[in-house]
Amino acid sequence: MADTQRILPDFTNPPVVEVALSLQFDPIKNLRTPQIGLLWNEFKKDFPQTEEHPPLEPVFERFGVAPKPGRPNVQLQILEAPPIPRCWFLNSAETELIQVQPDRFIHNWRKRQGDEDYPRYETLRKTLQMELERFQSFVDRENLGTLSPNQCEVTYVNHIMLPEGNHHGHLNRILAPVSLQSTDTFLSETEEAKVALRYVITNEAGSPIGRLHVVAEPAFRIRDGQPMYVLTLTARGGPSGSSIEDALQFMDIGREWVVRGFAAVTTIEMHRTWGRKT
Amino acid sequence: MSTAIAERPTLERLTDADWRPSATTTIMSWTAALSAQIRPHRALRYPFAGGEIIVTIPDSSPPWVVPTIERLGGLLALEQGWDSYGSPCIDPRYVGAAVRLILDAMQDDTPVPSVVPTSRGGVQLEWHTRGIDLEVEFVSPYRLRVFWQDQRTGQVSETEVIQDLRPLTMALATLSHPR
Repeated sequence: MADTQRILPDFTNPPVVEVALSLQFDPIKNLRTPQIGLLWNEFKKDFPQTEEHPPLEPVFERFGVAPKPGRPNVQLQILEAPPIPRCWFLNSAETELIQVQPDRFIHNWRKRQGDEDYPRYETLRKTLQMELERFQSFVDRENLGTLSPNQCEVTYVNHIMLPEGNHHGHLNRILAPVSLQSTDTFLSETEEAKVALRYVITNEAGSPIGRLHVVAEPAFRIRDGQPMYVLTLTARGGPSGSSIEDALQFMDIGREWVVRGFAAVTTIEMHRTWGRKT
Repeated sequence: MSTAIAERPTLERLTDADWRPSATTTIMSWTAALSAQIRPHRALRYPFAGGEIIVTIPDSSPPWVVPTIERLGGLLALEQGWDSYGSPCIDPRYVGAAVRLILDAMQDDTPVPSVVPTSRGGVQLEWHTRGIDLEVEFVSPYRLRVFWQDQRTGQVSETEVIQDLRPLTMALATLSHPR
């Protein structure tokens, strides 16, 4: 296990509301809807509720493929009937969620309302590891195929309420790389801004192994209509090998990039608001 | 100029229900922009048991596009036992992955590859030209084994590729423009 105890930026009151750890793997061909139903038995005690959702498309961080100017667009559709759903296993409090489809296993945790503590990464990692081992045992026992991870994702969702007197045109108060400065005075104040940034994650040899995506989306909180930003940081990339431990090691790297990346892209002003400790 | 309700992404997170995106967009929908239109020349359709692969090709495509896609799509017509050794039908996910790969990685002047079905129901692309042997086997729809041999220099390599396609694109570039 990588050293997850390295000192990372820490906040007394961070705006994180949800953390998701996702493992994408080569499709397990025989993991179809009935088998996912059987898998639910493994988790039913802690996750008694189920829902079905459309499957997520596979996502890869590719390197070495440059856009080709002038290359015609080609649309490719693979229509399969019926598609296998993405099944949700929810806990009773609806604060934790397992999502399963033939090429994904995801665990989400959300902060409870009014609860300032969110599960620490080390706890989430340990839980995910146990669940993945249970999932792998199930796949082996039922002869469904092989679990071969190909991409891992670490996602932190932050709900950032705008400081008093600010609106969606003041993204520069939240994100340091955003200036919102115009070249001249023609434009009046920015009404709204949304931003997507991405950074290459490299290994010790300097080779690319993934990307950190930072997306700031203007939004309104449902319960009171307050303006806010949803700031989502996702670190995605390929594990160094095909074992669960290899996948978890990438999660450790991804988590570090998300946490350090969050501190790097947000402003000192917001750090004060959230009570930065380290 | 249009005003549209911003679409929510596929529900993926627990907190997605706690907020709604800012409700308006102020740019013309990309589907209404002439410069964003794909004006199809033809749609290539390859049915398989339980589905279909559709590849829409615009008017101008590099010369290898249609013949290579035709060969790949043709693999879906192979019946179980196509090699008289009981091999399974070709998995359409491999065919789709191969189509995506060639469109992403091949250059306009890359020679047309040989398309080879494998006994495990997979797909392999091969180039044997100009003293270079390049074989790309789809171990899974997202996992490639790339074998490269340059008979001029004696250089041989074999590597598994998932996300870093540089070994493959460099090999294809050499194939297109041998030194």
